[in-house]
Amino acid sequence: MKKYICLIVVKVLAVFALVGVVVYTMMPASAAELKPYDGATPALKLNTLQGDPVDLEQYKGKLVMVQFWATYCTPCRIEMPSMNRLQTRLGDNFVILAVDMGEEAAEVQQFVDEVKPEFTILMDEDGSALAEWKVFAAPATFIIDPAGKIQYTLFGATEWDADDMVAQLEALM
Amino acid sequence: MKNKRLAIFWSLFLPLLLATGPAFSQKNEIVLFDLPGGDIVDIRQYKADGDKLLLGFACDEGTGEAEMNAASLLSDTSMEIWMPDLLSAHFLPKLKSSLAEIPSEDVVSLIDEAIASSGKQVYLISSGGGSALLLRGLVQWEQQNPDRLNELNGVILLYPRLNAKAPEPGKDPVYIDAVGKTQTPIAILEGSKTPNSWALPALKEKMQAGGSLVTTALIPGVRGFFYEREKQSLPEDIATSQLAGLVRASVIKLDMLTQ
Repeated sequence: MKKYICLIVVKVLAVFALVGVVVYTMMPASAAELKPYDGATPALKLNTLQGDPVDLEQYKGKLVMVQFWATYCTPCRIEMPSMNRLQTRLGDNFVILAVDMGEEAAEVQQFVDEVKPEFTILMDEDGSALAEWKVFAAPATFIIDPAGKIQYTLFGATEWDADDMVAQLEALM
Repeated sequence: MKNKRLAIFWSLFLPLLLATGPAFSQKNEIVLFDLPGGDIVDIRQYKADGDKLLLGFACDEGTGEAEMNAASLLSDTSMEIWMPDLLSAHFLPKLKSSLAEIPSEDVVSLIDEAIASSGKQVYLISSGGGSALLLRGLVQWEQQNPDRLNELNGVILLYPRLNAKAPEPGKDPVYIDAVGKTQTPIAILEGSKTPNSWALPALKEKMQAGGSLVTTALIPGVRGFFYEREKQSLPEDIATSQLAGLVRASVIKLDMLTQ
């Protein structure tokens, strides 16, 4: 009888452990840590994928995310849906400018059709913005406050709509 | 524009690529070599009659099939290849962190052995994270042999990963200490489809600081680690099949640097 009870206890514990592991692995990744940045904000004047000119200056008064990315960058592809959700959560006073790193319009369009980013894609064919912004990895993200100052940077992908990340960004708005 | 560059690239290199020949054989032998610390390393040697020898240091993935195929092709066309298996010699797993545990003295002794026992013009080659091991070994060899620098003909680095830490947006890349402390000529090949390609001018400038003549080239349409990838794009598949030609072209570029 005692042996039987022990066996049941072990089985119950095993089930709890298994459930714990499953729940843990299904939890969204916590937001990566944004790094404070104290440098100047370079100019950013590029054309969109559709050919329309965009100047970072025109977004003064809004919180802006400038992200450098490429179609071959797997982490970029993975995090873009969370950027769409972040845009929805933060609303019209938040703008995402996603700068493609020197690729051709056709391959970027193919990526856009597939991944469906709901924000502005900018083209930096000659890499001049990359050089100006000192970007040597992807994704490389800059968070610019409504006054136009870069507050944070982040290298690598993250879950942009994680609650702690949203709270940190909302604090800048 | 990029298609045009791709066409120009392959048209320039195609004669060299074809010169490596389509057929290859896996003729090689394993030679045992005593390392300074007392361990023994297997050196896979692809013998050849020519006067050039490539001493290759594998990245953390170890020596792959594409590299062995390229070695076989190169030896068929007179270039001898040595591939020491330093990870196995130290019973280290195939991890990036393992390369840091390999003593620089191992690289120094292998360079000395290649020069002394072959009597050939010796070139060093590595890829990815293996480039850091190669460079720190080279720095030590140069420091110990300041009068023998001309005995080493050059270094070929395929998509080298030499950052000391993760790159920070908005800041210049920080490289490992060995970068910029060498005098041996260096040829760097990088894929055009990697953010590292944008850091190539900065890396070249840093590497030249020690006195090395540095030449760089972008391989159009390929990502870093292109020949190790399971899912390759068409340009990556082509570049992998032509790896021997790319290496041979780099040796020629190194020779031209010092002429």
